[in-house]
Amino acid sequence: MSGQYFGFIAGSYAAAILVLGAMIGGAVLRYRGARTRLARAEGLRESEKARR
Amino acid sequence: MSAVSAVLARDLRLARRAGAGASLGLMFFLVLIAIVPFAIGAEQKLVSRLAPALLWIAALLATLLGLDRLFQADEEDGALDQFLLSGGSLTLLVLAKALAHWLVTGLPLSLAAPVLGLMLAIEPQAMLPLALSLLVGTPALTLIGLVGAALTVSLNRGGLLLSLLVVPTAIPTLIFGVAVAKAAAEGRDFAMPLTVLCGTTLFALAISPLAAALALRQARG
Amino acid sequence: MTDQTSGSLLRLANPAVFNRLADRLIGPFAVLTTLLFVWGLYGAFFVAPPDYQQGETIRIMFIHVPSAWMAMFVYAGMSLSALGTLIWRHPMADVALKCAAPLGAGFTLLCLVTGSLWGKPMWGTWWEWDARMTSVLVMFLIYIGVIALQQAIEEPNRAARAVAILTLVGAVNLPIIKFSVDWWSTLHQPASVFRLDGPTIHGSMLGPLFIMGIAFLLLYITLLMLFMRAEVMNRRAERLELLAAEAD
Repeated sequence: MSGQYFGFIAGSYAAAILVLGAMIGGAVLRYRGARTRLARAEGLRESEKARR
Repeated sequence: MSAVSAVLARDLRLARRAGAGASLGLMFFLVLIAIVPFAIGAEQKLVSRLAPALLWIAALLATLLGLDRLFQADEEDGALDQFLLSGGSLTLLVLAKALAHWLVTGLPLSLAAPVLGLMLAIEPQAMLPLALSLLVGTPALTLIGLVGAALTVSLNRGGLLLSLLVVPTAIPTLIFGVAVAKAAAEGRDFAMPLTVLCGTTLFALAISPLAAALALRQARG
Repeated sequence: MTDQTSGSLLRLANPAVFNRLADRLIGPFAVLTTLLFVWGLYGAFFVAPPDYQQGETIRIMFIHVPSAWMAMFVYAGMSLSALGTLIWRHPMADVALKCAAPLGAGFTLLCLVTGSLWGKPMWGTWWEWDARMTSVLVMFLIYIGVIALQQAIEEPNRAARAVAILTLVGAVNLPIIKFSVDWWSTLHQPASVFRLDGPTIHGSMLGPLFIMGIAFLLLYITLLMLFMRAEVMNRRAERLELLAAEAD
């Protein structure tokens, strides 16, 4: 895997890791964020019901 | 039908009041052409070679200008509601708006193109084909732009977004429009690109009013 | 058969059913995706021989070509979702369309970047206005337009329908754009340009390429499920927050 093209191949795979990584990271973060937000909203609603 | 002709007449009157009608778009076209030598140098051969492309890009930009207000003004002052209440067909309304827009942008640009081509030292035998390509192709630009205008009707500053939506779709028109003028300048037969250019315009005529009407209807909920 | 599929599609319209299905599938799909990537990458580096013309740069193909496939596949899926939104008002179709667009744009971007990195050693320039690259660039612009319109319109239902219309307009136009760009490039293409789709793809390259393609597809499905699941939760949270605000 040596030779004059090493930089281009490494660059391509680095780009893939970056782009796909951003997609994966974005999906996981969004999922977690949504889960937390939903849990809080549901908690709020429960306490609302309990107060009444 | 009378509602449609009323819309057409009203749009033309509005354009005339707003700034000497067709001449404003024409002045914008002229300004764009005038700055070209400052950007690429006054070398006649180069300018001549680029002329068809420059005129076509200027036509595209001139068409995009003001598109974002096309339906918004009607939406805001209730003209759109009135039209719908009167039982008019939204598709016909869109067509009338397109015709009015083309009459004050595309048509004057096409007619002025030979003169501007003169300034850009375009080959004499390409002059008329270039004007013809603009005459046939600018309706497609207007129609495509209309869909973008309908999609962004609810946005306050949709101008930039509208360009982003419209320009990629206008690529085929641009390619074949420039190809007509280039072929003519090089003394080649330009029947094929001209035919395809007509095809793109007819296709836009078939699809765009429907898509724009659908977009307007959904924007009103 | 069609009855069954439309039936199950209808059942999926219920977000609760989708949630249950997605929760069950996301984990196994993630594992499967990882395994396929490992297998495919092993094949790409250790099984596939260097190409006799392009040498080691052929390794770039194993990312470039699957991303190009995904760029088209995702748009096709988005067009179906757009139909689902406009004709059947399928509530999950609009969620799918919204979540697929950024993923499709990502694959398209990756295709462009790796194409450029492949083009430099093969063509001698970072960017050649070659018909395929240009078409992919236009496709990227259309993806960006869809995402921008989605973000610009605040009211979710309105945004969904506007984006669906734009997606369909793009789908109708993409073949025309592809045709005109192909025609245009025959006029402008210098004859000596080296073609990326070279004359031979050796059998031992085809295997790993195929596996990488499936790995990309599974990655997309997994991420789409994650994004859609998040979107459904976000919408529910929004409704609950609204109710709470009204109760106050």
